[in-house]
Amino acid sequence: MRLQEDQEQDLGSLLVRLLNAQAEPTLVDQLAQYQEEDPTREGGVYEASITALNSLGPGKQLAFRVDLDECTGCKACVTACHNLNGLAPAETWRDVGSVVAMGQQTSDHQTVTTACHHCEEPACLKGCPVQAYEKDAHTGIVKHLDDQCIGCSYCIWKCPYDVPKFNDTMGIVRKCDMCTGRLSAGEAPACVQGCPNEAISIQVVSVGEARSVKPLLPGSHIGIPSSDYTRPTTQYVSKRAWPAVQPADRSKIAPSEAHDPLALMLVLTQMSLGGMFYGGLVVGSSSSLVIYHLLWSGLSGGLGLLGATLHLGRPMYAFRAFLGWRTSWLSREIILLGGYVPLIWMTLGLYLLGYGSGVGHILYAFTGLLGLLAGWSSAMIYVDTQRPVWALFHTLGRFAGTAFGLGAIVHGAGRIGLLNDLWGMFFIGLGVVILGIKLRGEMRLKRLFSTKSSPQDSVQEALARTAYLLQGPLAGQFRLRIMLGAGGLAFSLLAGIATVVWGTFVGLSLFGVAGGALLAGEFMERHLYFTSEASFRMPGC
Amino acid sequence: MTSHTISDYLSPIATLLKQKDGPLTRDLLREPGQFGLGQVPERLRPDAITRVVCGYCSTGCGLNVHMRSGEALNLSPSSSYPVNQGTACPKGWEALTPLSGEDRGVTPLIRESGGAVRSATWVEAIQALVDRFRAVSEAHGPAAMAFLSTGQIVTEEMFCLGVLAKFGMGMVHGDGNTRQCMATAVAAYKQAFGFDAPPYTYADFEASDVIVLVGSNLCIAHPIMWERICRNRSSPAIIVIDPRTTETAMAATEHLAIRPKSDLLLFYAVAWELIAQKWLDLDYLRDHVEGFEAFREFVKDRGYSPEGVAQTVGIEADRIRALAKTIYQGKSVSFWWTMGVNQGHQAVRTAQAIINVALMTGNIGRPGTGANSITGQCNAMGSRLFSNTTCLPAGRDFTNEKHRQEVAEALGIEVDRISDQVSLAYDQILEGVREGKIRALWVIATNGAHSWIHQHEAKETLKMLDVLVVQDMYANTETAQLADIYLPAAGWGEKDGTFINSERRLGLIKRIRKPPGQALTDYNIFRLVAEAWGCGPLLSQWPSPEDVFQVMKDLSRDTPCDFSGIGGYRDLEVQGGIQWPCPSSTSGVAVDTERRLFEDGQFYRKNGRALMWFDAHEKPNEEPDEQFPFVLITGRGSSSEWHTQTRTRTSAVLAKLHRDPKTVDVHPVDAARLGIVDQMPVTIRSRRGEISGIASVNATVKPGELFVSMHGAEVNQLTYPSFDPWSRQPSYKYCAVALASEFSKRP
Repeated sequence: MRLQEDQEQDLGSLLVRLLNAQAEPTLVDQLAQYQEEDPTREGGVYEASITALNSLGPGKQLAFRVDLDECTGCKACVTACHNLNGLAPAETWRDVGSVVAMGQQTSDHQTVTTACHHCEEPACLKGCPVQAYEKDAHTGIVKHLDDQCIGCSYCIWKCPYDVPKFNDTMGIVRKCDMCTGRLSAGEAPACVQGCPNEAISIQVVSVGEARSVKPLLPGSHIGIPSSDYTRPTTQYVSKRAWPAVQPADRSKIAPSEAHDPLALMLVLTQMSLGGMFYGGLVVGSSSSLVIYHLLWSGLSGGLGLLGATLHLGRPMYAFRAFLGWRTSWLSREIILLGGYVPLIWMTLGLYLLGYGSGVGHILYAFTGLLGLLAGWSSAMIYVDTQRPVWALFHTLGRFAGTAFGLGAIVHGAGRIGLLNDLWGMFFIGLGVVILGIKLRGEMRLKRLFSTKSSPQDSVQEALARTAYLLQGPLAGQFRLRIMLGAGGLAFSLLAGIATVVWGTFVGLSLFGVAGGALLAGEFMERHLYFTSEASFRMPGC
Repeated sequence: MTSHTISDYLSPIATLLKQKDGPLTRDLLREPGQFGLGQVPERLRPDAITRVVCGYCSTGCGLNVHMRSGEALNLSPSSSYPVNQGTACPKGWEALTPLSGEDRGVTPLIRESGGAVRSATWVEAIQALVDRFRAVSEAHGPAAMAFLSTGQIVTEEMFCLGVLAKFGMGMVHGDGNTRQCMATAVAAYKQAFGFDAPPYTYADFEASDVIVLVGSNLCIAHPIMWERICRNRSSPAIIVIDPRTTETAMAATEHLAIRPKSDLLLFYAVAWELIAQKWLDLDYLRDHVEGFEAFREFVKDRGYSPEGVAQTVGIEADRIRALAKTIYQGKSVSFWWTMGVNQGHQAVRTAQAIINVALMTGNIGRPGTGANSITGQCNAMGSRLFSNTTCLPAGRDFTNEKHRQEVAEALGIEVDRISDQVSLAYDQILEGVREGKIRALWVIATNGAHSWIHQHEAKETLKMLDVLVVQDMYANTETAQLADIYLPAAGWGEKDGTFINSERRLGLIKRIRKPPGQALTDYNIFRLVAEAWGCGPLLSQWPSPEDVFQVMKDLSRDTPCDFSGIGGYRDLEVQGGIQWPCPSSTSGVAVDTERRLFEDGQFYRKNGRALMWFDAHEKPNEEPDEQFPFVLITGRGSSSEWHTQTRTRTSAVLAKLHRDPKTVDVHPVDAARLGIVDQMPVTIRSRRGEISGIASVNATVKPGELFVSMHGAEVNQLTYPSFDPWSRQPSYKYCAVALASEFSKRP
């Protein structure tokens, strides 16, 4: 049964009328005169007053105080901060995780709200290559200067609490400033306003109050970042007797973000400086081999720098990166690499123009030294994050292995190709041994996770977490890394034999294949270096 | 500092080197927001604010919407609204985000005979609805058409739907998703008090010295009500009765971790102890209660002593005794229950056992007392009074001729257009579909294909219909995907009207955003359907929601929920919502902001007394056995999730705060026995389905019990369709399941 045509017309005109009517905010307008809030009312923004501000002085600073007994997990603080600060759709400066009791009998659990701890020794500030962080001398608030930031994300690694958050659309990091502007206007920070239970407040704490021995959360716990590194000022208080607790997400181990431009940059610059090192052995004896090395190192170093720039959220401001050299290994690395790569090309120029002896040698040595320092800085960038799996032994082992392993193979191939020198075989063998030892080390790390034994401390557990990732979620990638590494090494040996048996051309072609596999293998290793990092942050879930 | 010395001479270069200000910094600039808001982001500074009631739960918080040029930009909780006093939960804070979700329905959709779905005009879609419903009605009678409504739309719209469906289109059966949350409280109150009347006001949270929370995870489900408990300055005893160590249990002064669905026994044992110790308010019982003697005999005869029930309840008899003593010693004891009670196979009797204990101890009608059901949805209370499903408007009875006459007069219709049949309940409507008796179904703002118990059966049932119409904000809900006709609806914030919150407070919502695309308010959709059905004047006599409000007001006159004293929306605006009753004698203005019922001890039954109800305790219909050894409990996962996630999933921030719906809480002892470690993939099986999950090994559940959030799309594949005989509310909190590690080999 169809509607009559005129009925249909009626329906259509009614529709138009209704659509038009619902586009007007009628009630809002009608009732407009009643919409004024009384800010002096209880619960108003001024009510949660900051008497604390008056007692600030030398040796004092502002800090968040979280009464855990009042925090019941509603997570309103997260959204209050998000809305009242106008953050990007998925951006949050406060997070709520939880800790649970260990063992079978205790059912205790507790939510833990976290924002920036406005540390006494802010690691973010020290690591920032462009001085985009300031610690306010009066309030102690750690403030991020958004327009100064180049988006390198190093502070995200430096902070053990996962505080700085990267904003994709802006290409910078942003973080909590304790609502500085609100505080100075006598208003409470957004999270303090937003907490229905008044669990969060602002208080004045004395700086340096032997905080290093005081754990961040009450009670004994495992898997919570240690407080002696940055001296966080947040005071988590509770009147309850706490059982031994662990983060609710202790077993929830997920791969970290990949940083492939950085992985590429590290491998290429390390190959570059490894090549420079071996090239140094023939400075004075073979200028063609030296030029070969300078070309290699110049190209790979240049590509590496380009890769590093791609990693930045705002690469056009990369020139600011020297500002933080006093405290930031990243700043130092950028300065040193920034000198090292152009100097390679200058040295190459000298050699090509025939000034190879004398000035060229000196410049070569100086450039090489700069490269070594840059390589050291590269390693220290990661070591300085205090993440167990990036500790000096692990990081330097990897970085130096790549540099001296790949460098030796580049050198050996050059000797064979350019000089038809069978000593090349020795260097290829050396490279194979170095990269082989390195590969073995990586495989040993993977074995640190076992369902049968449990780690004894946070450092061991962090390593075991990485091992778990390599065995589980990242197993496929790790297998590929092993195959590339082992395959490349086998091919290198084959290539050596081929050189002797079938001559240089066949040999070098095979070296090309082997070198490609090894380079790809190193890149894969570095990819996993980032994605398999899994040390503890603040409790999640 | 080199940059500083340079800056003295070359400040542009210095700025380039050290830029403390600029567009990125200014993005976060905060400025005084005016209107008493404090600082707000400069980008989002309003030119006006307007207060609306939140559209998620029944707490009914006031939210200040920050407006610019007539459009909502941002919001913050109202500090002058009597409910929330300046705070909100994450859902409230993020209430605007789902309105601009990318998956909003913007045009009607029609399923072609081949199964393909195409966009349609409103005229086409409305015509299709009318044609197909009329065809069903003509072939199978009007009782073959039904509707399933919601507690999420404004009362004015519910009322229009009820009037249109039942008095215009001639439907007999209609129900709502309130069946899943509040039906038990409705039935319990009607029987005990003579009217569906939660007696409390939120100030009672602040005035109790003993607060008993039964099956209520208030901290997560109603965080702002928990805030009101936090504002209780007399350090009340807070006793949480819940099988799980919930957030609320952690924050309580005492937690009684009873076995699932042993709450009825627990309260009978408490009654037993109160009687045995003579801890009774005999004066109150004598003057205001009927049926106490029978209840006393029942409890004694059946042997519901603390010792007798201890084993089944799973806590020591002494702790039950202690609970009775605490209740006795308390000066103002309030009892609050939520879904843990309402969703059970004997839910009504359980609620009434709580009511009985409150009556026995005289804990009702005074500040800080009450047997108080906390409602679920923002407008479940509006639905309870005006949806025209189980009762006629304002709590009237379909079977009562006088009531039918009153309604007919108020609406200006023939009385014989009002059926004298009580509507079938949700489960009976679905049963009717399976039996071929119901063939056309109109679903409004609810997602039964996700949320109904025994999901597989529910989905198959919906597929049997001749025609399924789904009216919703989103075209991609599980139910909308099954629809033959989809109608895009405006949501909260895109229309005007009123909600009634848990403490009976009528509050105002307003249009602060334009509905997207072609989406229409539910009120407008009903107007169109009425017009096309040929009963346009039935609704067009009320050209605006406030006109509908006036009719509802008139209908409420001289009923327990009388709010005829409210002049109109302006009174609600000025006074921060008004609780019913508010009869015309109070003239609407200057009524107290917090009022409770039964202060005079007069209940709504004919003899003015409350009636005690009771029945023998029975075991749940599906008990764990060797094959399915675990009890599965479902419930709220986090404060940032709502219903079937149709709205909350569209906010990136709320999504961050969700509990992973795959998480299965399992006790360490069970986990060890089954070789399950924390975060290991597991499968849960019931007789009805199998789902995968991730184990969370912790002792918040007891051995033999599992917990999964109800917000996950799959969990209702497992649940067992058992219903309370009085309320027809499904028992979501108890079914037998098996758990296995996904790595273990199955037989």
